[in-house]
Amino acid sequence: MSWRNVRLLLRKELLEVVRDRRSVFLMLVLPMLLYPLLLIVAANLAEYQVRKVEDGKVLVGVTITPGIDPFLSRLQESERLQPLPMLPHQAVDVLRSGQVDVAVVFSSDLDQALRDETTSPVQVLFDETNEISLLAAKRVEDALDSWWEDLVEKRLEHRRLHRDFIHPFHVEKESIATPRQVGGHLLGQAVPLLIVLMIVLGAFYPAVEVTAGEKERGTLQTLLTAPLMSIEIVTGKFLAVFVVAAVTAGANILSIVLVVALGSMLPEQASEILDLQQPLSAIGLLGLLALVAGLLFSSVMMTVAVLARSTREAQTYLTPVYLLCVLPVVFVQMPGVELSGGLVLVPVINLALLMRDVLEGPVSAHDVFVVVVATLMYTGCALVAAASIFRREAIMLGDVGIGGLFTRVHAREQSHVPRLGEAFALVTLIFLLYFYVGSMLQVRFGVAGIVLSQWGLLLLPALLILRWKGLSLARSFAWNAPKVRHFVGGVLLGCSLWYPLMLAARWIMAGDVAPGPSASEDLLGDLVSDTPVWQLLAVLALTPAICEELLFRGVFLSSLRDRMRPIHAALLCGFLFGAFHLSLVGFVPKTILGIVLSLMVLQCGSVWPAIAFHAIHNGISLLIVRYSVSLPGIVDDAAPVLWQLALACAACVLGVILLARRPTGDSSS
Amino acid sequence: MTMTEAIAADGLVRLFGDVLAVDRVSLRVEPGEVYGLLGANGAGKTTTLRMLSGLLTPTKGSATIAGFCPINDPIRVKRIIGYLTGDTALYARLTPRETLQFFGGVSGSSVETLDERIEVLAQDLDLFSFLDRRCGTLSTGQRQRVAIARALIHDPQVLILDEPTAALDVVSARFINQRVRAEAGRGRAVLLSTHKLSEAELVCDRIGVLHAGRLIHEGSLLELQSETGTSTLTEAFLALVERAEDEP
Repeated sequence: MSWRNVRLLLRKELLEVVRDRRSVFLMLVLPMLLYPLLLIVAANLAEYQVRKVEDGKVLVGVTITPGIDPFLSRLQESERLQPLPMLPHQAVDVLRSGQVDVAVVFSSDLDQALRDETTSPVQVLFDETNEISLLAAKRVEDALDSWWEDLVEKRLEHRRLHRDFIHPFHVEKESIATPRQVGGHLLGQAVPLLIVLMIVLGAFYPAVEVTAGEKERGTLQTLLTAPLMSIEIVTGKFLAVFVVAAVTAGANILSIVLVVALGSMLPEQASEILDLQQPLSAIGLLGLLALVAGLLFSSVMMTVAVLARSTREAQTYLTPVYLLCVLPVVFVQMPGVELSGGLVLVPVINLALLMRDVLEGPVSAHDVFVVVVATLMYTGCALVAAASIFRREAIMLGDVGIGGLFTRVHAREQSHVPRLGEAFALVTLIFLLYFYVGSMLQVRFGVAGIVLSQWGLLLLPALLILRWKGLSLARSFAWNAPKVRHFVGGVLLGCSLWYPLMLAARWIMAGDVAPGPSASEDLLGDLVSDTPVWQLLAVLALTPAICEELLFRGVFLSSLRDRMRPIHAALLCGFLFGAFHLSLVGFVPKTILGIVLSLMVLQCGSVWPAIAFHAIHNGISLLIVRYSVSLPGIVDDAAPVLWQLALACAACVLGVILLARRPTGDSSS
Repeated sequence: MTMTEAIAADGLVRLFGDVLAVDRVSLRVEPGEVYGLLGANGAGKTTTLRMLSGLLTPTKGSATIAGFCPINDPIRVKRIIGYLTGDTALYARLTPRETLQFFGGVSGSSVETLDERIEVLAQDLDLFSFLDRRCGTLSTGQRQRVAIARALIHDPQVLILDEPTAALDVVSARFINQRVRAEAGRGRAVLLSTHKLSEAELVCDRIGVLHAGRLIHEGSLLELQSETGTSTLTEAFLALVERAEDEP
């Protein structure tokens, strides 16, 4: 893939958007005008309506009976309550017909009850669906409460009792939430929805324009005649949609924030109980999550829009997608929904929950890492799907819309290894299987669960899909026999590279950014100390070495090797390997390990040296933990012993020298 | 295929569902030659050109462009060919200069080479007066000249032109036809489709007649006339079509 081509395509798409007055109006002018106007008009209208209702007089139907004079005088004293006499049986009718806003029905024995110092029922009838009736009921209740207080006071005086007599205890309610937390909670209910809504709206128009719009105008065929790979076209267009969506969403949100800030819509008393100010770190994190959400929504919307034959058809296809993107955010606002368990990997919901948590208080870096990794993987899958659609002639050139998905794809030259898209989709599928099913197996069955999840969830799906697609297992897994010197090189690196890598991990863990180990890492710690050594090495060293290498350095790397430069392939494979483990602490060491292993396989043309390296590397790491081997610089903060470090480095150099020589006559490398 | 053949197609077949659009078409075009695919609407001209340029995969058969397979090596083939689609679709909000910079850029040309190449093409195709106007404001003839410049921007060995003069007035069509001959004169192989018989007569060195997806005859104008015993290409074309329809 050529990034120069992607850049040229992105520039072309953005130039077209910027020169389209309608797009610029929708992206920038409309939000800057619409929201200030809407919010100011809405706020003023609401204020006018509330004032009108609060200042207005309400009509109170009252059944006239002896003893109610104090109540009537209270109503008459108030300028906002007007009593109207009625009979008890008329109460519901006059209320329904709107002749009164609230009806108060006293019992005929009221006077007697007051004299006897007993109690008498009073019925307040109102219409819950009518705001004015609710307000009237509140005012009547206040008047009744005031009368009730007077009566109680008199009765207590009469019996020479202190007021505490009827208050054995009093309740003092106090929220421990700070104004910042209250403000964060309120923002957490609204801001995720606002961000998602704005990004989806922002992506809608460009997603349609760069795909179905191009088809409609006939320029897509011209573009397809250019020497561009489908993944280059998809990436360039996707980035254009993302940039437009981000600018539109940014303009919308900025406009709303400015209106709220400048409009002084927060009353002075309110600022004592809630604080809408957010720390810079939260705003930065929210921005990052909004960008990640933008990547996901842009990729999904573009992928769906590319199926359409015309802009109108694209709008029809995108409407349910729009709802699918927005509705999960509403679910997040339900009480008790937390970012934990299975929800961590559920697209959109995990992002919205994390945004809410960021606003309500500090979040764990691990959660941010997991949500970002998962969302990026879903984005990748959507792009892979878009690239696959771009290769479908029936959709791109024919008069076939979404039905083109079900047409036969004319076979091109038979490939022996999976396509990049197929391999990425496979890794994502395994990622989800491993997270949901694998973690359950490991928690329930311990060592057996690890074996099951490694062989059954990492390797078996890859094997089945390769067989189903009729691809070469030997080439896809790169399991051809290596040269002896390459194998020895792998073993040497496996024996030595763990040392500098562990130093790096130690250095990262000593920093402020890394959190403690996750639950799965705790489980792993228990296994290391409780399992027999041979089992430990077989299950946690050899098994992952075989399964992970065959999946990552076999299937995934084989899909990259002929499509990009080796260093780019190694970086991509290493990054995916690091991200797959969903551990923030382990991300950097595992990514470095993945890059080294990828380079090794690219160099040797065989996965076996990488398996040997991986197994020995894991085995040594496990034994160090198991036997608590004292290694300065790794188990403590002391400086590493120079001769140990020098020995490890010398072995690394020797391993690299042995690996550096390519096998003669190996065309695959 | 000999090394001199720029375009070679062998038994190309393309089915759309149950509809046979192209039926066992084989042809050869050499460098410096203009080959015209002549046929009525729906004869399979565009489908054949799309298969040769790597836009469509043949159901059967094979093709090579300068020795490379358009299906297995589409990027290399697209660098070798300049393809003109039938509808002169250009990006309305880009100028001709920006259009040429974009298509030249993705073909791998450097900025300096592109600037020089745009100057040459602007001179050849008389684009200077509207080079920096948006394509959406250009006339059909001007747009077609830009489209041809776009197909030529990366200096391709092979030109594949789908109805290059359709919807053009006589003056514009003559200009385009002169340019096609000039490009063949520079050693490019040109394969064009047309249903304008007079144009084919004027521009093409060899003509292939497509009818209902089949290449029913090919040869020079003189060969077609002598084969059918007619004096004009129109008469020869009609005679060949009638003969094909009479065949079982």
